[in-house]
Amino acid sequence: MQPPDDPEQRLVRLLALKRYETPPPGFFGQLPVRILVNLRAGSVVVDVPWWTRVLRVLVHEPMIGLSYAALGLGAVLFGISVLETAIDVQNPPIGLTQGLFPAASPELVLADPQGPTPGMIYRVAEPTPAMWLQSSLNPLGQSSAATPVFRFETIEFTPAGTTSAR
Amino acid sequence: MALPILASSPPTETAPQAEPEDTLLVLRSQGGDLAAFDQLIRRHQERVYATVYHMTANHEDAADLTQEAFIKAYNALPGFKGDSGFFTWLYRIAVNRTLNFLKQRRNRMIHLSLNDIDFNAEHDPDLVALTSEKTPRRDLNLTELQERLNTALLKLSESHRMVVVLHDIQGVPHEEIARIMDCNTGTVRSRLFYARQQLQGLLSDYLK
Repeated sequence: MQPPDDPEQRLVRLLALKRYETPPPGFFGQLPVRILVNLRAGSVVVDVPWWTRVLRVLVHEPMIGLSYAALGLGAVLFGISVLETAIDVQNPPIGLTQGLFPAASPELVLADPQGPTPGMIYRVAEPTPAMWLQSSLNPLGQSSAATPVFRFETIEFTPAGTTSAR
Repeated sequence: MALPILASSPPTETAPQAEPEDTLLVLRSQGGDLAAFDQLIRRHQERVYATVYHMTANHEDAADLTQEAFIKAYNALPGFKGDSGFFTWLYRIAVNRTLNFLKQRRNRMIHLSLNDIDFNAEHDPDLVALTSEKTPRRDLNLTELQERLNTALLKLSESHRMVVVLHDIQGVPHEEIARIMDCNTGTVRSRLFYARQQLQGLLSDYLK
């Protein structure tokens, strides 16, 4: 038990002074009325779902809405371009898919397997997926590094139908 | 004649008479009965106001925050499941709103707007002793003492001040404060200890 003159006890008694601080007369009679008037008027901020608040902001601040719309559109366009690139890498352009331009193999392939003619010049390419990716990211094709490299070689045909490069 | 705000018994969830009535009024209020909510306001407004006032030391801010707390409580009533008492739940709303307000006010200059002291204070033996010839500042009147006291309280951090206000001024038990402030009882006791030590240093003139 603490003695009566203990500083802590004196402090607690001193703090009791604050219990005598009272608001202006009539305050507690008016406060409920003010609260109920506000509740009835609905002029107060109520707990609403977040999407409702976002909608309100967009309606009241059209510029913010437009900015977000532009941002969203940009994000969608970027997403589409990335998706297209991914599709290009997985399914390279026609030459690669039809076996005209083997992606990873240096083996020579006939451009027209149906009608080979001895002594004819055939286009042969060795593009890699990385080169195609570079090519599609640089549609203008101004950089030489971004353009797939094609070699032109003369091919001779043997009667057995095999090919060989000179 | 206005009685001191907290002359009534401290709030406890186990108050045998108040709780059933609160529960009933809450149920009616949840159904949109504003008259029932009016009764809840009138029952709890003094303690809620007092807590906010002692935290802010500004009557206008306290009036606005009390009003906001009740309005927020009314709008959140559909989500009130009755896990804690209505008073604890309401207090928590008021305390959180006040703490948020004080964080926003931290960078602004604090303007004291103190309420008048009820004249019953002049007959309080403890306060008479504090302003009597036994104290080193016997020329000090109650209003000056009140100002010193509020200034000292404002020097505490918000969480420490809240514990002092709830316990030493409002008379709320430690366990109830822990529920209101969403912390454990040990934290409440620890905060109270450090807050009192700090206040003793700030008000040493009056505690000798």
